Amino acid sequence: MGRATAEEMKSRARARLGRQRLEWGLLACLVLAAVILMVVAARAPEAALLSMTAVFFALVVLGLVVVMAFDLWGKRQADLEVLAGGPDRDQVQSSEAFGLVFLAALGLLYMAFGVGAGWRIASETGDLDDWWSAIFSLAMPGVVMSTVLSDKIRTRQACALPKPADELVIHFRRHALVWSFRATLVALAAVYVAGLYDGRLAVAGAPIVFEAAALTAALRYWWLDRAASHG
Amino acid sequence: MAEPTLVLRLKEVRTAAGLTQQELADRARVSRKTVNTIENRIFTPSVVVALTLAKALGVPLDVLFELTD
Repeated sequence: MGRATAEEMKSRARARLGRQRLEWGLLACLVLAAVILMVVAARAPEAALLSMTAVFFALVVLGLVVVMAFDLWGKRQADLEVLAGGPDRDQVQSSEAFGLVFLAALGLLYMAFGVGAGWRIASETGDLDDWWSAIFSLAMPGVVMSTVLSDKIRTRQACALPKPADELVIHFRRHALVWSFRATLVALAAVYVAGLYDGRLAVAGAPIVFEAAALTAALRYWWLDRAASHG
Repeated sequence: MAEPTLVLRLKEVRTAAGLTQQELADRARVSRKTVNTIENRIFTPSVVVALTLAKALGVPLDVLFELTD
């Protein structure tokens, strides 16, 4: 089967956008029906079980509508980009690199909470909130590192599936990983030495190791991307 | 024995063809950054990308890339 021409792809995208208008209309009808059901249920408090069941079903429908709307929105953006001649790869790469730096910088805040929480837990004075803070301090490094380790690239479209990253992106990610590994070893050595002095420092310092890895990877990736943009 | 060196003529061939980096990138379906980093020797492409660029420029591969002693 031959590859579809750009005009054929645009024609199909136009047809899909037309069908999507109908789907948006159906979703709007579902929302209206769910809202009406909830209002009716609220006005009939004497049948409590029936009202609760009706509200439950209405909420389920609304939840499904939200999921379907996100999916439809993603498809709509993809089709609009096809009509506009396709996404700009350079912009997608740059926005991803900047997004990683933003997430890694946000991770500094999580890390600060995680260090304090880790210290209290290691000192056996931590409560449930400290456990949550300690665990959530891994979230941002986790997201950043999973992106850098991935061979896919996320588009800017809501709900759109990630696409295979091109060679240059993978090349940059590998370089970023090398730098990240170096930073991890340095941070790990520092935390290890601190842990020899006081075991609690090893626990409290662990979020710093993860954040150092993520921040270094993100900054290196962004720097390489920035360098590639010039010239 | 001396190490062979890679001679790169992508920029010369592209400019001789009257193409911008973006136009070549669009033809070869790669990003402009890929073209830019290859021209500036930041990135050495795989055989697939090298062949794609050669095809987009309508020249044999050894015109773009050559190994010399």
